[in-house]
Amino acid sequence: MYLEIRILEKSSNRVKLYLKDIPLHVLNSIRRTMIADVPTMAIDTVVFTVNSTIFYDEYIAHRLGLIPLTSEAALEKYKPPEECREASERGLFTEDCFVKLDLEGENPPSSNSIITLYSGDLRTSDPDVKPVYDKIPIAILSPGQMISFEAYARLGRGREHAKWSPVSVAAHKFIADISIDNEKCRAPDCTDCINVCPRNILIIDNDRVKVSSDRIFDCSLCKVCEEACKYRAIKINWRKDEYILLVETTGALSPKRVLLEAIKVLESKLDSLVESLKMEGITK
Amino acid sequence: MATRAKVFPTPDDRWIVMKKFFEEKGLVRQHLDSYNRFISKTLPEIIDEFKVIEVPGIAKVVIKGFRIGKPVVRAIEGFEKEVTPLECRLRNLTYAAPVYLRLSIVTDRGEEQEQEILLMDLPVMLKSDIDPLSKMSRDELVKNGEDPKDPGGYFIINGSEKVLIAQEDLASNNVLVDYASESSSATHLAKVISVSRGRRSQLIIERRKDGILYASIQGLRIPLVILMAALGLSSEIDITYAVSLDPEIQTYLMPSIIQAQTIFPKFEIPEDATPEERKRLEEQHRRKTIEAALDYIGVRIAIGRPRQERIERARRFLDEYLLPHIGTDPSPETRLKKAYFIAQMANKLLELVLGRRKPDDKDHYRNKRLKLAGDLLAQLVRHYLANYFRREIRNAIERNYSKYKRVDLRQLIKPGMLTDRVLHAMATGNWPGGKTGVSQLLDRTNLMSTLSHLRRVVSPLARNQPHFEARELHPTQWGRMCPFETPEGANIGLVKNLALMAYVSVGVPEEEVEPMLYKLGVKPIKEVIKEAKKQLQEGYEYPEFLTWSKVYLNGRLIGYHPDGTKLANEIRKLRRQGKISSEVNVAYIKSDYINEVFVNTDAGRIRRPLLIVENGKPKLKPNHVKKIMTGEWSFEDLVRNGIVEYLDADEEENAYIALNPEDLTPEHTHMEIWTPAILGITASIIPYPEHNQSPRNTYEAAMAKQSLGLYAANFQRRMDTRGHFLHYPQKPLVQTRAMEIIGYNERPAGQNMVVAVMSFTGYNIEDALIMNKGSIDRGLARSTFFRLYSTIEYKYPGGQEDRITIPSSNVRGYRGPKAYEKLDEDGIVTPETPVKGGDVLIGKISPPRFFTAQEYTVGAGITRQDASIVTRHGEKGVVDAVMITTDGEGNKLVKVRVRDLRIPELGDKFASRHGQKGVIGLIVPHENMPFTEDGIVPDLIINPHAFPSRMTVGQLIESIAGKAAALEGHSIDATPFYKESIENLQITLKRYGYPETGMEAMYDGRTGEILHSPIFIGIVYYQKLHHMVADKIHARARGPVQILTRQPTEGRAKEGGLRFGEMERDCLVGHGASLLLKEQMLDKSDRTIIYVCELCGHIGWYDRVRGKYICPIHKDKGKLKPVEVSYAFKLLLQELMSLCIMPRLRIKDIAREE
Repeated sequence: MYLEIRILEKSSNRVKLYLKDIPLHVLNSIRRTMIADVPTMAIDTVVFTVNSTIFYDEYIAHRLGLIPLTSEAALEKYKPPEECREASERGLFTEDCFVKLDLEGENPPSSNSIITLYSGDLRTSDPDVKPVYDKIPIAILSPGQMISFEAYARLGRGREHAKWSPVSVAAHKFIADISIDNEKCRAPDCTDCINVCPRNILIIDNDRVKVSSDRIFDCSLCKVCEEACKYRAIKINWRKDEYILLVETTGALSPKRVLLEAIKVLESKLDSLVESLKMEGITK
Repeated sequence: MATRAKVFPTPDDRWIVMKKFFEEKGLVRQHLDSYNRFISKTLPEIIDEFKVIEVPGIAKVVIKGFRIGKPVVRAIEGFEKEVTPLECRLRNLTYAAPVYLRLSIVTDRGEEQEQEILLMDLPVMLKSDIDPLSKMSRDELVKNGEDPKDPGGYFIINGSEKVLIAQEDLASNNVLVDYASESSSATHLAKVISVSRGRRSQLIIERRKDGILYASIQGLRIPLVILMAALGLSSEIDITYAVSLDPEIQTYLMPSIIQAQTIFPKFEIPEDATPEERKRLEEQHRRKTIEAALDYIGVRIAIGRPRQERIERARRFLDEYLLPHIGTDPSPETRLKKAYFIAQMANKLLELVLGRRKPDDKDHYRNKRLKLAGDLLAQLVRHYLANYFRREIRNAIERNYSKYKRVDLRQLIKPGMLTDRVLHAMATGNWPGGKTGVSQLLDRTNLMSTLSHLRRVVSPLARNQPHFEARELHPTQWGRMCPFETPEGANIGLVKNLALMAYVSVGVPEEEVEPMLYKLGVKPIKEVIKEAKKQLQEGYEYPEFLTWSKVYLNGRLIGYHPDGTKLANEIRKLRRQGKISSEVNVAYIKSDYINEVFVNTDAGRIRRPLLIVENGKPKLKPNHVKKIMTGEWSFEDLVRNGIVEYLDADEEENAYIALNPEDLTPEHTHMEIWTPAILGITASIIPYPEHNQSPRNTYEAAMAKQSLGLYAANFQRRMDTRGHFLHYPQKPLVQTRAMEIIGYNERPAGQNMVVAVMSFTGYNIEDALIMNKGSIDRGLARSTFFRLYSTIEYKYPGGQEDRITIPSSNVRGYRGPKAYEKLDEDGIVTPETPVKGGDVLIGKISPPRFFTAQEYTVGAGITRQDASIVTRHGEKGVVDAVMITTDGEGNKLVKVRVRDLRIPELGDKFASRHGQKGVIGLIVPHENMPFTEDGIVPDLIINPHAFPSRMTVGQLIESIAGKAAALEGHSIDATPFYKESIENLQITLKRYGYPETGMEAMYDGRTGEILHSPIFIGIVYYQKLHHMVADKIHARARGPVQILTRQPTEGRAKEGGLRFGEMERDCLVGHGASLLLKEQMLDKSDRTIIYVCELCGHIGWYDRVRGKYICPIHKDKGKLKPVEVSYAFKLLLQELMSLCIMPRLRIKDIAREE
């Protein structure tokens, strides 16, 4: 059995898919896995040697953590999150787990301008893992201020902290099934439902209210038209097992990769379930 | 609003005027003006009052002048150094400027040369005229470590910022009439509190049930007529005419006059007397009458003294204590003025009796005055000068003279004598006269709480009495006091806050105005009476003055004017032309019987600016607005040109004020500049307040002062005892215009959050909130908490001193090596060290407070005591900053600031700007949160039950407006009355493809199912309040006990137990759970074993040396048995013994019973 999939929209970090005949629980599992379980690289530990900026160490560390790092290659290169987490807790910044990013900045006391340090100023030990965007401000140095730190990035999952979540948006929507009872409808005398619809889904055609077929994907199921109709002539429902999935990534991974990784993670979870069942002797 | 016609001036035009007002005056102008006036006017006057201090026969000291220096600090080495406020805050110094007196001394040998001597250090109000900060530019302020947005208006006393809270008081020198209470013997009362130059005396005139008027002053009750006679109104006709020209009122005076007849001498003129003789006799009778009246008073104050002395004493008494505001000099003119004032009181009282006027409304703002920082300081300085300065100098002169036969000026004045007392009052808030809480520690939770604190007004009425009328909102508070901002509970309505444009008068001398009034045709009262008398003698029916208007100047009747309306209008004209001070207000009050003009020039009246309207057209014209916009004109130029004027509550009674230009009619006299300015600082940040139920705005006004934000831009250079700052404060998307002038956008205290209204898991019932973990991870509502730990290395008398160092293990109270391990070699922690409760931050050893017997015997090495500063129990953090300096006495002062990152957690408190507060009830992982089709996940989920009963519709509108603002990419104006219309916002939503209801279809993140009902979701500005779980979480199993009772300590800071109270006890009693009860009340508390003698019932003890139990009666023959009791019970027994009561415990062994 094949699913019907159509790409509705696609750009470097955003994709909108139309999916048909996929059960909701499967789709939602994939969506949840994308948010919480697909690993990416993010700075986890920062060792400050100097920091005389007005921002506190923990404040800068938090900012650093939220900088998305390119993780396409890192997923293969580095050990999985669970192992690295232990290493990080023990303070062992091994090369198979961690990428070192360091930054040194100084604004001499004699200067009379301020310096802004950006994510692009971070020096990385692995060219595959670097900030996705170069213009994310980290800290501002006034004359006489200095900063120097080593930051260690590792793989992690969104479940642990949102900074490891590869997606900023992962949402699906239902597709509307609008039924209009032409017996009750008073069109064209009454066009309340048309006026009230924010997405212009409804149109008047031959003095009848009709659903614009090419805009049906846009319906947000807000049911405003249902409310607006005095004659209860309009009914909003949704199509079964037809969804639109919207994914927007932080740039750490491509949407395609996120989706595939999510499926992989889900798969391996199921595999380990099967393994466990076998181990326990419940199945053969 | 779209429906509002674009009539000039439009809201935008009016806003320009309003903004100019604040650009020019700032937000704490009342305090600054009051203090500046104190420095420039009142202080010289006060010093002038003490100009000559004389010790008869020896010398006199003459003050020639004085000078105030720059704020300085005096080092113990002796030199003076200019000081900045920041240094004062950090080093626990006082920001004060020296006041020097130029003195010379006059002895019998002649006048000695003038010398300049330091009188005192006067606390300097920040940003006042004598503060160098007031003249600094923004950059200079920054260089001096100040926040350029800091409003000033407070003092720095011993390093802490103190505000002098404005005190609301009944207007002094004004006559108030009222019905007497049922229980008293009087029927009606007229009261006046006369205040002048620190003198304060109350005069009450009462009408007894028999119709006779009495005056009471200083606990002395004198018949009114006698008092007036004593003041020089010697004849009945004089008294009657002074009181009123109206025959009806005169009739009501009759009982008093008849009663007074008894003491007055008889007056008989022989028929054949020549005119000269007649005149002589009249004069003689006049003198006799006055003396008889004075004697009547004298008998009561100088009992048993000779008549001549009695009269003299009575005169002095009247001069000094009666109505001091009219004058205290012993001249017949002043006495006569006082007599007229009393007559005026009697008249007002009789008018009340006749039902011609209603009792005065004590809650009307015309009868109220504010005492601001300057007035309070003046009171303080005058009090101490009068009570100590004069006496000290006299004593010093005498002492000096008797010792050395000459007087040295330098030894006369010790500067500490005044400084210490003034500083003590300002540090504790205890003012002379028993007032407490006058000076308070400035609230630095956020900028708004600071500003609101500086604009607070308290009423001195007792909080334990109901005073319902005083607490209620009075119509005259419109534009003067914020209708929302008042605390809940005991202080409701007594503590108030100034409305935005309210402005307090500083006062103009009466002398500037009085002659002008006469020139305008006011006939002085004395002439009126003279003429009326003459008319009467010549046989007119009624004096024509009856139809004239009475003219009052600051509550004192000064004369009559034929046409009150004309007079009032002329005064107004002069004021608008700038010919008299703009601080003068005039009101013309007319009813069937009352026809009075009130001219006020005194200080403390709350006034508010209004646009003047003539013939239905505001005098403000578009070119004026343009001039203001370009900066060519200031706000004061509007006042000077008669376009804007300030009205006090009295004059506002004459005004007909339009809210908006569309409402103007020819009858209108004024128009509001900016209607939303009726609100105070904190209420002004509420968007759409007019859509909320009123108490919700009150709640929000209180909560806004607890929200975390950026309280001062120089927070890293300050060392506040506690402080919070929010990590990523945001400008609200839904703005009010007032935020711009308050500075809320530069120092915000909250964040815009995506808020969905739904129940979701139900973990948001009862006002809880559900928060998104993803949002928290991304930095939502993070804050940093600061706490200051500080200590001083004192030097004690006798060569002992503290030492800041790592204590060695032999000091008493040594905490073990682990506690001190974070200390550096100087005994202070290093910055950026993580610390937790119990860790020593500053190691300090002190000399022992008491010597034990052991130390006496050992001799040489006395043990020192550990006095280290330890991180508070239950707190943790990172050492943020360490400061080592010296205080004013030259002692080493160490301050350590510890910071702690506060990430939102279960139980932290949040509130929207509509009085909707709640604590986090659940933190939901991002993937479980509901989402919209765009993938929008709410930061916060609140329960729909928060709305129906509270009716905070404003929050719903804010939510829609916030959403529209986010879509459009600019903030939305939600200023009350002038906001952007809600319909427009809905159109915006629809344009961007969102339903105009603000509701969207959402999907459950856990199942992926659509939620069957669309969810109301939008953006609301939420504030993080400073009540955080981290500061409150507490539990205990075992821990410290109190020394006296051995019961567990109380309170989190002392690691205390949780009280098992009487209701909890009742519960166990009710269940009959006796063993559980015993465990709770005894075993877990202060269980002890005592030994009781079975024979006598007394408590015995164990003698360790002999290994025996001893009974106090039977000695070792006693039969002592261990008994388990509460230690508190043991204490009770012993306490009874100390009262010579002999408690006996009859004990029996239960096992032996059967």
